[in-house]
Order: sequence, then C-alpha cells, then structure tokens
Amino acid sequence: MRRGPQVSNSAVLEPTISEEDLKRQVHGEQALLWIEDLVVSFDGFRVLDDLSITLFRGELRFLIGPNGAGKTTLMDIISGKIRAVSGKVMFDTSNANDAMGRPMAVEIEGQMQFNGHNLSRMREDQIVRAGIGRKFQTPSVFGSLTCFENVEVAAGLRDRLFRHFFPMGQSRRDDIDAVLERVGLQERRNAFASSLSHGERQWLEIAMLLAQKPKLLLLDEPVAGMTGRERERTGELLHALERDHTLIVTEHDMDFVRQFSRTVTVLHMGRVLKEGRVEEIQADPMVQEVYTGRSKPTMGEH
Amino acid sequence: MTNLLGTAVPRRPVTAPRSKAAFWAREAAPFLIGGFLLLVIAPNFLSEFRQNLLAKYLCYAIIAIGIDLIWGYSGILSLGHAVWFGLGAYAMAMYLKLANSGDSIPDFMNWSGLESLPFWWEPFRYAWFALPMVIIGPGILAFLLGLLVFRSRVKGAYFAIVTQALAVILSVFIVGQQAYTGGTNGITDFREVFGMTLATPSTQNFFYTATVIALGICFLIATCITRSRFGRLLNAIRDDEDRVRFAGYNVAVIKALIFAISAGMAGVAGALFVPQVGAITPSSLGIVPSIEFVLLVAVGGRGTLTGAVIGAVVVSWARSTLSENYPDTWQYFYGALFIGAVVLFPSGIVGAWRRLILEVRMRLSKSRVPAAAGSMDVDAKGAAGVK
Repeated sequence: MRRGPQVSNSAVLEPTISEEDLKRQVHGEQALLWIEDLVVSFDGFRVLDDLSITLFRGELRFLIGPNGAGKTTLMDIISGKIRAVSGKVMFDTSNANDAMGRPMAVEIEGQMQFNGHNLSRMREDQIVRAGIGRKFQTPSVFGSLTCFENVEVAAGLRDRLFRHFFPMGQSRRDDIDAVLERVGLQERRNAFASSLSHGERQWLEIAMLLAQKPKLLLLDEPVAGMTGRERERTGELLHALERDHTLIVTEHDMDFVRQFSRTVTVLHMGRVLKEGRVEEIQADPMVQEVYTGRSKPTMGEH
Repeated sequence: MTNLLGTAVPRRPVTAPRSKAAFWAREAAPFLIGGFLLLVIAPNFLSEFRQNLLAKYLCYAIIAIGIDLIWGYSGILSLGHAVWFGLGAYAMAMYLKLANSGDSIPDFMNWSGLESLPFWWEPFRYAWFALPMVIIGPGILAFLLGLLVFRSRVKGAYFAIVTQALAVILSVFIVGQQAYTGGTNGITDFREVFGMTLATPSTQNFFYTATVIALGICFLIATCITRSRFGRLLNAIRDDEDRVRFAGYNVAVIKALIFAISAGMAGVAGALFVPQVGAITPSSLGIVPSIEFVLLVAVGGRGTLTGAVIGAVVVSWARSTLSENYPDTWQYFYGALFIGAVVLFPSGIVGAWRRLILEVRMRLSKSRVPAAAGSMDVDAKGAAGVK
C-alpha cells in the first residue's frame, strides 16, 4: 500500500549525473529542492501529473489549491511517505561546512539505477536526517513526554544510538531551551504535551522541527484550528524562520496566505496552475475559475 | 492496542528539580527496601520450601521487568516471551545435564537411540559458553527477529500474533525432537551444579541469593534505560511510532534493541529457574505461560518497574496460595483475579496506589478531586516558572 507502482526503466547512470551538474549550474548554488516531471498515481488516478517545482534557499513558499490538488501528496513524496511512479525529487544537502565545499545532492525519489540496485528510495528517517523536516496536518506530539523532552527527542536524531543511553551535554540543553523560547513555549517547558492546547501543540511540533536543524521545512496547514492571535504569532514565526530555513507551507486560509506569503504556488489537478505573488494569483482568471468562480477564494475545508 | 489489558501508569508530573539527595533517595529506595525484604527478612522468616517458591517468583519478576520495558514503556506487546525464557532455561539445562552425565550422553538421548552427542550440544559442556549463551542466545535471536518484523512495520496485535506463533513453533519443535531436546519430559534430573549437590539448603540458598542479585541488576539496568534519553525515545515510540520515524529515527532498530534486552532478561530468568525448580519442560515456554507473564505486568502496573516486580510476586504468590487451598477450582479464582484486577485497576496495583496518594493529597489540600481520575495530567500549573 505504501509503495506505489514502480517503473523500472533503467535510466543510465552516466547522463543522470551530468544532467544534475547541469541543473545545478542552471540554478546556481541557490536551488535547494528541485522536482521534475513528478507523476504520482493512486489506482490509475494521477494525483500529481508531471509536476515540476524548484525551490530556492531561504525561500518561504506557500502552496495552495483546492482539495485534492495534490498538496499533501507532494509533501508525502518529499518526505518519503509514498512513492512516485516516475519523475525526480532532488535535494541538495550541501552547506558551507562541507569539507569539500562541493554540493551534494540526494535523490529522494526517482529511478536512478546503479548496478541493478535502485538507489532512489530513501527511508523516511534518512530523509529527515538529510535535512527535511515535516509537520503533519494534525499536530502529533508525544503526549507522555514534556515539552522539553519532546524537543529533546527531536534534537537527538543524528546521535549514534548508544549516545542515547548517556546524558546529553549542556550545549544541547541550551539549544533545546532556545528552540522552546523561539516558539514561545519556555513557560510550558515541563508540562506534558498531552495537556497543551491545540495551538501550543502546533508550536511544539514546529519547535521539534527546528531542533532537527533542517534545511527544508514542510508545514502542512500550520495554522489550522488556531485562534486569530495564534495565527498572527505563527505567521511571524514563519517570517523569522525564512532565510535560515527554506519552508514550504500549505494553507487553506487565504487571509493567512495574503498576510504572510511571499511566493505562492497554486496546484490544481496535480499540476502547477500558477506561480507568483499573492496579488497576481488572486487576479488570475484561471485561478478564480478553479475556485468555482469565487472572486475571493476562501476554500476553507474546516 | 493501548487499552488492551488496561492502561499504562501515568508518569509523575515533572516538577522543580529535587535536590540531589532527594533524587538519590527516591532512586535508591526500591533497592534498599527490596534488598532488605529479600535478603534479610525473607531468609529468616520463610521456610526452605517457601523461600524456594519465592525464588521462583523472583525469576518471574525478572521476566516482568523485561516485559515492562517493551510493553509498558515502548508499547510492544509480546505474547511469546516464554520463548526467550525457555531458550535461557534450555541453555542452562543442557549445561547441567551434560555436567551430570559425565562421559556418557544424557539419559533421554540413550532412550531415543542416539549413539553420540549432537554437535550443537557439544559447546554446552562448558560453563564459559553455556552461561553467556543464556543472555546472548535469546538476545541475538530476538534482535534478528525484531529487526525482521519491525522493519516490515508489523505492530500491535499483529506483532503479538507473530510472537504467539513463535511460542507454538518452539514448543512443538522441542516436543517433536525428543532425541535432541528431551521431548515433552523436558530436561530434568540434575543432581549437581558447579560441584554442589542441588538438593541441599546451602545450594538453594546460593541460587536464591543469585536470583535476588540478578533481579537487582536487571532492575538497575531497566532503571537506567527508562531514565535515559533512550527511555524517552521508547515512550515516544509508544505514543506515536510514525512520528518518531518522521523525527529521523530508525524505529525498527530501536524496537529490536529493546526487544533484545527484554529477551536477554527473560533468558537470565530461565537460567535461574532451572536449577531451583529442577526441570524445564516445553510446557513452560508455550503460549499460556507467555500470557501469564504479560498479566503479571498488567496486574502490577505497566510503565513502572516496581509495578512489574510487585505484580510478579503478588500474582505468583496468589497462584500458589489458590492452588494449595482449592486444588480443584483454583484456576477459576485465578482467572477471576486477572479479570477483576484489569477491570478494577486498569493501571495496576501501582497505578491504583498512586491515584490513592494523589486523592489523599488533594483532599488534604482541600481542593477538588480531579474529575478524570484516570489521567494524571496535573502537570502544568506547578511546573510553570521552573527553569
């Protein structure tokens, strides 16, 4: 069920590599995630249909679209939860600290074949360690752990397993406290996550993501179910995060999108319908049509 | 799966960091109290027969600690833990049997017409091989099995069924391979252990003390694990396994590791069980004892280590008492005890005790008793403002 159908057209390794180098030149060192001709189908229905998106470092990208447009599916693909039929998702893991100073790209999805092995499938946890953090639509935190412990678990992802049996250093503790401070949960540090309000859970989950030190954050409807004031704070948090992180945010609430978005990508029927600033998007007749003639799309499902 | 057989004992609220002394006092208390009861009180007040029974209960307590680690703390329900107990027990029994057989092959092999010792029995002649195997054997097998099963994301009731199947397979295998395993009769008839005659009080005392020490060590290991970051990781897996995966952890390896540790403890218990009971038979590693082991933890209170030990001793003691007093009908009482315990105290003896304390404190402080007595999410208010 988890694994979708797999096309095993053995792409030749040689051109694949040079093609990637080419792409990197095209995008400069700026591209963090590039998706090409991605096709995902469930029982023959194409949920994502030749989707191509490029995401640049430090970008805050909003992903909108009507229900079934493929927003969550796209996140599922990037985070390795489901499998694509064809296409490519490349994620650049390079950073300034790389000894060689050479960008390294990790293929998350795709059909890269090498000696008959399919290299393309990375496990979900490997993808996370490579630097892609994901927040799911419904906030999921560990109820029997305190806020601090939740973030502590999240922060330890690159530790070797045996390190988990020993206490962590003070610098790690400070990191965790700093992250809690950043999302405004320092006061609730020792509260069990099960006792948090809905909004607080969302923030705790964002804190857990930050503790993973990701390069790319996937946030699936981070303000769903939040009060007005909480939305405001979350929006400010998103703005504080861009530059240091690259973010993809899906959202249904157009007021929130209008207020906090930079670039917006509209998905429809598994394709990119339009990409641009929110004013351009809303003025676009095609987008308006997609939202069934509503001049001011609200498309809330909640 | 969480609500099958009651619920886990909720954690104590995290409050202001206690003083170092208070911390150590609390952590050392079970060791001091338990050690005093088991090493000072019990040997002086119990008859030889009762002490031997107590040793058996303590073997179960070791298994219960292991089961609590996987079930109470990590949410992995194993209904086949008697397999690991059995493997440890058989490793020990094979060693004892060979030590008692001198140069000839074990008696049951003779009866089955075997001429020479099977090659895989050979290493069990030596204590340096047999004794480590008691832990390593179940540990490695459990790790490999765990890795295989957890990698394909089999969990909850499905995992429990896999472990049950394993228990059936092993007991059927042992019964079927009579020539190599002693069949239904198991391996028995040991006279000497490490040069000591088994039936003497001093030897039984030795094994009793060894069992208490082993229990203490297992309790210590489990305490360290559950208080460590790894313990929190286990809790996280219990709460939401998929979320842990998306937090960047290879959940299968973590689960397999704790499963292996748990199996190793069961193996130790099995090895200590054999010389004190004097036999190991396939009926001790089937499904029924496996389920009983889980119930020990359910009655004691899963999610607490003291709960596991208390549950094991109390239930085993009740079992002995009931079967002595009602030889014909004890099993009905025994079953009723389990049902009653799970229905009346869903979080076990320790859970009920903690709730009682909480309620008394609430009454004393003249505030209202919390409406949801089942959950202990009293956290927060007192915790706010704590650095």
